[in-house]
Amino acid sequence: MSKLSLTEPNQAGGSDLVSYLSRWVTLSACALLFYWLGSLRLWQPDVSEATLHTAKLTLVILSAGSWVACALAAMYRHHAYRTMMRELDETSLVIERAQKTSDRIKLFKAKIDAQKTLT
Amino acid sequence: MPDENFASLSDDQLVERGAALETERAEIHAELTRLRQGDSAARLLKPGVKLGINGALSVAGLALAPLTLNLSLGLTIIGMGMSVWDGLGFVKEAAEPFRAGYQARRLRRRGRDIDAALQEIEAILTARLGPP
Repeated sequence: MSKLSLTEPNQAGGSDLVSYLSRWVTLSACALLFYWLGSLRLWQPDVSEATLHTAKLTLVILSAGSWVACALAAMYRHHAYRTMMRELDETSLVIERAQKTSDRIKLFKAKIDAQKTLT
Repeated sequence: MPDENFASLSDDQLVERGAALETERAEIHAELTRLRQGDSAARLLKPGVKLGINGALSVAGLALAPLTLNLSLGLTIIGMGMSVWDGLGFVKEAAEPFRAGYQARRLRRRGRDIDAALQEIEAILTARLGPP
């Protein structure tokens, strides 16, 4: 009988990968934005209002986008959390039922020992 | 385990097998407890606070742009980049209950197998020895 692995083998590795990728995504996004703003010459005195507006609007939209993504993630988590609790409750019921059966089996041990003593 | 032929085992072997299954059942129980305790909404607090701080930095960078000849937009970019970073951490945390739910389902399947095996052992012992 194969023994059940109680820990997810990829759990820690998966987290590390997400952390590593998020670092790269972030640094790449920052570098690209710096490059883009540099190409717009925003810190020159003669920069046009239209260019400035475009740059600011882009930054605001990107910031708001990441916030909306986080809000959606929080909503999703709430749903997943409730599902998880239901799964855990149902699993606990199965495990408790198995425990009761196991307790009854333990009672047979005394009976078997008593029979051995008699014979 | 579902294909195990318990009827061919002696009474002692059946009790031993029951004890082994009980050990595994206890491990699953401990894992369930860990899953229950390991997940809480408080885990979102840290990435949430970081997100708030970096969001404030981004807004401050925008607000100070006229006074700093737009140089503070660099602050906005850094704050925004950090927000993306935190956002990914936030999403990762958000996925944890999903993963725990999946694991609970796996444990339930295994628990059902154990329960079925224990019931079979009990039925055989009852037939041989009478009620405990």
